[in-house]
Amino acid sequence: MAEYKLNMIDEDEDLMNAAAAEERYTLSEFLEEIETDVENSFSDARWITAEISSITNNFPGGHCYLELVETETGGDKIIAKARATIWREKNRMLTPFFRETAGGDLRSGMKVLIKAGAAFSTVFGFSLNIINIEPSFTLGDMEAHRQQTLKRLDKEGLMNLNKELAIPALPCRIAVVSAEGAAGYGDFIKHIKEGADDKSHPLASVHFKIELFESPMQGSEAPEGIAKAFSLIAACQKEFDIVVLIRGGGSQMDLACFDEYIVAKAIAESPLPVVTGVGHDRDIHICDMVACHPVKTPTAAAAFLLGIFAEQKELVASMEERMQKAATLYFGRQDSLLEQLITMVRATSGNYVLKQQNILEQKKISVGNIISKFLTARENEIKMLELRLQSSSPMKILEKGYSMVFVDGRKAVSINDINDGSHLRILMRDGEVNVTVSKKSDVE
Amino acid sequence: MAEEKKTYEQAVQELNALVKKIEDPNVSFTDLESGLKRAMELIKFCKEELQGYKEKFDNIK
Repeated sequence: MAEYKLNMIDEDEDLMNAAAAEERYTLSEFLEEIETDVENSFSDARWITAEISSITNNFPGGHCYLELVETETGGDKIIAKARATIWREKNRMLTPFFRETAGGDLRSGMKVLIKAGAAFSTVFGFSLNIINIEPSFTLGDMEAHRQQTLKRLDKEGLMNLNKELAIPALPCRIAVVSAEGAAGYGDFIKHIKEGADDKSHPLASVHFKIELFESPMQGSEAPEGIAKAFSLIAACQKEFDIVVLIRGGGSQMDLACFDEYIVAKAIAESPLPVVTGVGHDRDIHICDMVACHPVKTPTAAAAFLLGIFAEQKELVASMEERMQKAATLYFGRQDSLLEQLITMVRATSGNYVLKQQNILEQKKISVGNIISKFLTARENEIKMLELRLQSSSPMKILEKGYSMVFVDGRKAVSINDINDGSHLRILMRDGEVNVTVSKKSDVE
Repeated sequence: MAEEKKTYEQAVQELNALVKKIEDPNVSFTDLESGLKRAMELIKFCKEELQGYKEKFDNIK
């Protein structure tokens, strides 16, 4: 041990001796030398690609401070790291330029192509002095990232998973994923309430249960936050009918988190159908592509839900109408059927009466005929009797010049009725004579 | 006519009988005389009856 200590002292002494022998610099002297060298060697700015790991932008009044990194290809290991600054004068131009071209502000996690020179400060150390920036690179990178995400989702079969879920007929228990203070959330609530409060609206009687699952809706924390909110909802899925993911419109960059894989995966794997209302009309995000029902804005999401109820109401109303129509038609048919029956019965009875009348008429005629015949027969009978009477009447015989002979009050037609000495009464046309028979003789 | 309530049928029946009697060659003078008178009355009655029926019947028609 003692020996070791001795050796240590010896070494220190050696170093001390060596330092005494060489020229000494103050820190500033040394760093100033580096500063000069850096400035001389890297006087020309160069185009550099890097990823922003953090950023503090004091636009419009101040400078923008960034930390740039480069990670190993296909890994997370940082292989280069440097501070960078956009000085106020440049920042006044670059921040608006980038915002306008890329549709959003620089933020952490973003890949950038910058033109920068090297700078070294004796106090602040090494940094990059950014003088220009190429937004199209960032956009291209984002698009490439987006395409990668899409490919991955497709490969994992997540693209249509949520679309296969059916939206319930009356979704009134709504889990909302949004940020409490976000304008989009306010719009959504306001629209739903207006719909539910409007007494003329079919929703007047619908009681909505809306629960907010808060998450940051932009920035680097947003994807994790949204995914977490979805897992919380999934844990109590029986309490809800539908999930609504909403956020008011923002720049393309602000909404970049809605292109993130973990957000898309959370939506795709949601056991409840998801309605997305993220951003404005022109924004189509991956989360919209995987959601069961994407709409453009939070207001549209509210309108969609209200529309479902209106649709149901209309459906019921149309069924009612159809039933009424069918009933009216049915009763109308029955009415006309009855009418027909009545007409038929009338016609039949009319025919019957007519037939009976005809029959009666015929009977009358035949009865008339019978009576006529009968009367004629009776008349003939009487006539016959009259004729017989007339032909037997003695008056007629007497008129013709014949006489009638009665013997003992009886008509005498043969000499056998008469004897000699019989008293006869002879009837003649204008009287009678009483004679006594003196002799009778046979006519030969 | 003495018997008002005689029906047509009865009248005809009686008339028939009278005519037969009168046609009988052995008819008595009294029967002939009274029979003739009665028969003429009956014929008149029957004719009137028939005429009445005819008119009634025509009215019905």
